[in-house]
Amino acid sequence: MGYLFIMFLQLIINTLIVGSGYALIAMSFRLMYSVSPFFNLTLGAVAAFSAYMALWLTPHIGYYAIVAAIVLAAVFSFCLEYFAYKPMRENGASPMILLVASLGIYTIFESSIHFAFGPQYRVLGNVSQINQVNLGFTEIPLVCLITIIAAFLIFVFLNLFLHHTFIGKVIRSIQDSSTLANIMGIRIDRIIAVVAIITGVILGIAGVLVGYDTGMEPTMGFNLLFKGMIGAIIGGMKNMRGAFLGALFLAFAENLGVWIFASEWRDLVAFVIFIVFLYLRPHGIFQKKPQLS
Amino acid sequence: MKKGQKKKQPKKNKSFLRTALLLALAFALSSASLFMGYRDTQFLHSKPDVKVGVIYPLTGNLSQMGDAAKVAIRIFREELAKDSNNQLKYEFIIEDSQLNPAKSSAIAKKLINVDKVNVLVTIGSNVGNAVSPIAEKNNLIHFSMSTDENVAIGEHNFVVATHPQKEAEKMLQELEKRNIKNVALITQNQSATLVQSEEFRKVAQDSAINIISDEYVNDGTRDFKILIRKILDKKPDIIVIDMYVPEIQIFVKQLFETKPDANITAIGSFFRPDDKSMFDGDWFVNAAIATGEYVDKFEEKAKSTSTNYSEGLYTALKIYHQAYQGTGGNIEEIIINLLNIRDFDSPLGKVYFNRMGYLQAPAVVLIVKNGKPIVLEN
Repeated sequence: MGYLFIMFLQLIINTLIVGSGYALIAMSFRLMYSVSPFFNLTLGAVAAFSAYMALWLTPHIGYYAIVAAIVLAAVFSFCLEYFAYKPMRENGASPMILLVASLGIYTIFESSIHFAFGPQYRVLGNVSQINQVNLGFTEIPLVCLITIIAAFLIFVFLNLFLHHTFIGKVIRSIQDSSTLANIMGIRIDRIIAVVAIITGVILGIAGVLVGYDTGMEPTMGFNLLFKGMIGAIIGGMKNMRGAFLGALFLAFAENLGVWIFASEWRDLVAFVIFIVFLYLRPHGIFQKKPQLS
Repeated sequence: MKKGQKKKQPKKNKSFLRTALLLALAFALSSASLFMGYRDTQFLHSKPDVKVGVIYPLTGNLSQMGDAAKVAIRIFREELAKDSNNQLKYEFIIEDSQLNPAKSSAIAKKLINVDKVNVLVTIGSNVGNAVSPIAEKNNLIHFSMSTDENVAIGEHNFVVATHPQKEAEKMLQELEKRNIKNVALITQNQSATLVQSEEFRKVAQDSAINIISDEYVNDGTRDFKILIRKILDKKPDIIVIDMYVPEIQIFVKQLFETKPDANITAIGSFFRPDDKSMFDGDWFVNAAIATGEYVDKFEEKAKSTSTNYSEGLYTALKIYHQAYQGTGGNIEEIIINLLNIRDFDSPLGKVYFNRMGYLQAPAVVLIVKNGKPIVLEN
């Protein structure tokens, strides 16, 4: 009994560690999707950009590199929106065209990272000096604890921001109906630019934390985005709570899969659950079924 | 208003088309760069005697193998240039396999039909398995840096690596010597690592060693935390790792985060990353590794301490060069010579091909000290 309880706690801790990483991406994806509804693959590039910027800047400016990398990620995210997607939207590009364009931009980005930093696996920080935090029944790396705290804080911040600030309310109105928001005189492009900066910051934080935790490689962006997207879809794309809890649920399913079956079936278990939920609740676990009017 | 709109619309479409075209062009260029090979240019005006098609990963996580292969070819070339008796001219065409069997088989066909190569060189068991029937069918010699003996099937296919059984036996011997009883085995789902761990299971079956945990991980796995807990719960004396980069580094990092004093060893794996400092103090078993003059030349040219299996390619080229002498390029005679060469001096030690076309090279025990693998025992 004691053993099972400890293992269950371990499972929960691992779920929180992995799920928090997914949640940061899921929340960014969901926030961006609410104002610019297409599968933006370059969100993964922004996270990877941040990790590599931290890697590049750390030898020059030490831990300030973390802040610099997050700021640069926000700038990069804004530039992508302003110079790539905004002109395309103005020219009437459909979500499908934008998706293909984001795939193209992502590929260029990945090749550039490969060219600039090489294909090798890198990790931020000193691997031999691991800072552990004692939780009583187990120890977890400091970076994992920071990831959990960051994910929860960002979740709270986004909820407050979306429900209690003017821009947040505008974002939600665009999500409900961009046409109506446009008629009401809302400058949608400006709001998307603001959202791009906010998602850039969140992805920047995610990228740096992943760089410290699991390390980085040129292909990391897509892998990160993939699980984040699935988490957001499982939870439901209409609200932030859905994205956050969906990411945690995905992590729990994966960890349970590894524990009960084997590590190699981890993705299989996760995707079976994903398909089952899409079949039973296509609108997401944590979202009410849309009412037919 | 209407007039203005009518005039503005085509301009918008034009601008959109231009953006789409630019993006498509950029995408095509970046994709093309992934598939572009590398070709020697010194034979634009003279015909080479031997054309070698090298199918190696030039992009992706293991592209350092391709980079190392280019250095091995440079070393081979420079040595030939210094040899006043040498009459043979070689041309190398290096293509990106991305370690993808389907892609590699298409590249092999292109190298044979368009470039008219005489020899194919591949790395990776999955790629070797895809290319070996093509080489056999087209009557071409194929050297494969792999661990799967199926790659050597046929008269024309040669495997240039230590047999995994030798590595498994060495591992068992070392575990017994160190009085280790219970081991946890973790294997990445890649053909070479699967063959190696299967050989280890076979030799461990009739020994005092118990494999108390036997786990597999897929390529691309980045979170091992719960798996590590699962393995550590079984209380193994040591964890035997058989994985590729970057998974090996991520696994070991997360393992040390959970249990800083975890006892680890590996079949080959510790040799794979460029930076081996995280394995400092740990011993492991590996295929024969490059030593001597070759390593010095490599380190000087590549500015890297990891030869990334390029010694296999270099050894294959050197043996082929010797086997070619006096044959006038007759392929049957070259094959006979390849099988008859004994105790060939190579960076891997004294080696030869057995009747199956598998290189006979020893397995070694190494220890990582200050980020460098040092041979403990041959």
